[in-house]
Amino acid sequence: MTGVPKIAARPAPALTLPLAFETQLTLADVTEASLLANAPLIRSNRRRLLTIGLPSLWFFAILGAFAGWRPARSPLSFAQLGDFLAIFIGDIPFYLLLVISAGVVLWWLIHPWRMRRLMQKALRAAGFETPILLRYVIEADGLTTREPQRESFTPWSHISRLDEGRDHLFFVLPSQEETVALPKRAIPAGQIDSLRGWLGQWIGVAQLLPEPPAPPDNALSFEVAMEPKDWAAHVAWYQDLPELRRSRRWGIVRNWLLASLAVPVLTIAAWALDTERLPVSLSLPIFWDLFPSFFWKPALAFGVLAALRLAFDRPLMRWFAGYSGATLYNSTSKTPNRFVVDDSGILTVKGAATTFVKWPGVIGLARQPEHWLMRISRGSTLIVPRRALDPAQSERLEALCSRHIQQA
Amino acid sequence: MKVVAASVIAAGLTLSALQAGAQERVLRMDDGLQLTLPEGWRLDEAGDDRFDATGRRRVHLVCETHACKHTQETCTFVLRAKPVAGANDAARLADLYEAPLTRYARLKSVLKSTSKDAEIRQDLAIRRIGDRDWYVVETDARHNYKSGYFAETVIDGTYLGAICKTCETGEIRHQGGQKMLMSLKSDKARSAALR
Repeated sequence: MTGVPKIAARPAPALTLPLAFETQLTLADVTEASLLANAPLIRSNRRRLLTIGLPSLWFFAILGAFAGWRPARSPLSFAQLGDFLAIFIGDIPFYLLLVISAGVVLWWLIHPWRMRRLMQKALRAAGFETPILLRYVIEADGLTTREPQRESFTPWSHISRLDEGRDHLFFVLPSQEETVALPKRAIPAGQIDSLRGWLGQWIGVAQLLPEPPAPPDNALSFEVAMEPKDWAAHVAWYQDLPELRRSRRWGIVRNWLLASLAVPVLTIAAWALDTERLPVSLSLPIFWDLFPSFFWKPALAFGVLAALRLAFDRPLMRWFAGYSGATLYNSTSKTPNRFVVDDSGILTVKGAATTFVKWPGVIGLARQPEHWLMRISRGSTLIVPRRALDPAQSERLEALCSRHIQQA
Repeated sequence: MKVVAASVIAAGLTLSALQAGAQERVLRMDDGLQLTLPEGWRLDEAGDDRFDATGRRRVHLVCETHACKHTQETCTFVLRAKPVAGANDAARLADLYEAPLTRYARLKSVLKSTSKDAEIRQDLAIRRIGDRDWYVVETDARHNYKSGYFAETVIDGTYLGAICKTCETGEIRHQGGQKMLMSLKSDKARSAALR
């Protein structure tokens, strides 16, 4: 091998460790982290608007347009379905179909903005209200985040990659558990490049880490491997929070109104923008005649859909929770969680990653038939499956919760 | 006489004197349709274009009476080759503008074909002219432009449209055009025999 030049190892940028940053973590920061954590799901949903939504719209429109073209005495066929659809969309002219398609594209364009709003709403519903003073400590073996009632340690090997947004560095975990956002405003000017380089060398690299310390003898300790139903229970509970339920119902009513008004508004907008438009005195009677086909019928059709959506909210949410539970299970690490609970708080250990939450940091408790769900800061939840505890342990956990959680 | 009629029919259109010495002349069109031309009206051969780009048959008529020197009345009759679908002529006619948007498009097109800033003098509606129903809309042009009288009917499934223009600004307009509309007759049997 002589003569082959050796590639010099990239020198690690010089950093004086430990490195600590402190900032007020806001709802906007946590929203960005949650959006990044859920990015694969959000991206695929957004793509479906164009790959499924738009073709379906055109399919039904074309079906409606050709409803009249069919052989006499035809059996039940697509054409008859088209006859039914023609009641609603058959007389929509081509240009209006283009306008509606433009609406779908607009929906696709504003999808990221909508998701950001929904995420903020969900985080608020889960208890994120005021900014949290957060301290980040970067050490040789991992990242520690400290806030008044919570402390987490994540070894570099547990972080799958470093991502970067305009205003943040993100420590992305190999799952949808919790992406950690480090706002760039917290990093002193001039340090960001060396920090990025240093993290790039260590993140995801295998590490030899010391075993976590044994739990105190008097602490309640148990271990559980998460299953899809555990994640599903969490999603179902989350979706059933009063704020989210109310917001979902209003959303259905609002979408019904928007969908019903879309065609009349677009028609009037097209009229207003037409440089050769008919005067109001001539247009108004025509618009009035358009009302049945452009407003009442679509409003009725969308109203039926909205009513069905409201009526089947619970079964739909159950299905969604099951689907999301399976997705979350598949995307999370299968390493069992160990819980250590005593009068000081709750420690969770997953591999070498730990999170300790002091009791005042547990802001709510939901008792589900198969789980305890503990709401902690930053919109997070601790999921404790009941199957992990024997009756005596369950009784003890109940006693601890009753003693320390205000809303228990 | 028969030779003359046949040769003009071959051109899609017949203009013949039915009664020798009389001023009344009959304009025959395809599908057995015929109109009686009032005194002083003649076929404008230069504008007689049997097949235009859209496949419609078009007949242009001009008025040459003394009064028309000021009013410059003209009428254009258009026959569509494609029959209108429907149970009967009344239903076929009603279907033309059943959809509100087609009414909108019609009003817009008649105003555009009249002049900039033209107004609707008589709104689009079905009216009785002679012994037939017609969809009629009348426009009022700006100064120095011709006002329009636009009428359409369906006769035995054939669409016939009339566009009459005049410089007249008084209350009574398009008299010649309306007379021709009143005289519309269908003679399907004769048309079939001549083919």
